[in-house]
Amino acid sequence: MKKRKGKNTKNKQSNILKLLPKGTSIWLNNFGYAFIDENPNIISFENKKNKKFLEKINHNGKILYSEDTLSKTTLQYITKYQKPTSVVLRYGHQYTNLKTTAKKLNDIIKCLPKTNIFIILEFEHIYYNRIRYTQKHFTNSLLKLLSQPFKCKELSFFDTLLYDDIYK
Amino acid sequence: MPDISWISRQKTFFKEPHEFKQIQRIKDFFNTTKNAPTMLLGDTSYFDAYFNNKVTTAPEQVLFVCNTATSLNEFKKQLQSIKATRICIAVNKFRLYSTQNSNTVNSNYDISLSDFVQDIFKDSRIDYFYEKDLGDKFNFASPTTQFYITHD
Repeated sequence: MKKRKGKNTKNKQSNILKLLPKGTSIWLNNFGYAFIDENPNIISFENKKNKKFLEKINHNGKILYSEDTLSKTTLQYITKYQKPTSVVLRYGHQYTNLKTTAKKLNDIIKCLPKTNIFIILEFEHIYYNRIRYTQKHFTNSLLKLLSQPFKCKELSFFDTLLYDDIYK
Repeated sequence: MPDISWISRQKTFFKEPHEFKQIQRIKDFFNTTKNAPTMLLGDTSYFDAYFNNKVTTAPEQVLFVCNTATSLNEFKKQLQSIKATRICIAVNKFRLYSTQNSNTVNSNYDISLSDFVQDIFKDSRIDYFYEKDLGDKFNFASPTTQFYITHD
């Protein structure tokens, strides 16, 4: 059986740091506070239900809380008041299939204009026919359904990063 | 192997003692044959104490729990190597992956996975259990997809 590559979340996500443009970077439910030493421009948005737990952790990062970090309201607040040059989010815990994933991501993209978007696709949480299709096929099919072009980078065995580079 | 099994970890999420439905189903399947020579394959540490006669060769029954990233080719080889009269295969379907597209299989993942196993155990009776919904039964972390294979 294959061992997962990059099982450590921090290692996995540190690959994203070098891709970030200058300016404020918002990390949505994505442990951004762990990277504050590497990039002081990172602001974390974490789920409100984790607030008590996160307040106990000794970290220097700035954390804001939201009931739903991927909601339209949160995303519009971020665009209007934080004015980020990049937004990093994880997608997968929603347990969706290809079409639903594309629709939800397009809704998110619509709320984040003029921002570099980084999406970590977590394949361990996405439902698709793993006998019929490869993970790469799913990613390529998804890219065709998204409303703007994205590049791809494999972060670990089950995690693929989609990113654009409008500021580069 | 982790220090604490995935089942034990999930059970800590709840205050009251209980057994998960998918785990109880496995126990029920082997309930009357606990003393038979049993081979445990894969992530089976939680079941170590349940069986009284564990063997590494010539088993009468096999429990195979597949809960790590596994290619379909590996999975197929593992299934083909199992020779026993009573078999339980419990797989985390979210951790299987394919290295090439196969457009001829059924478009429904749950059905195509069943076809995949049925094709290997052609002349056997197979009872198949899986969760139709996706999000609320730890099925991303647990082998909730189960095949109970018997020979008449």
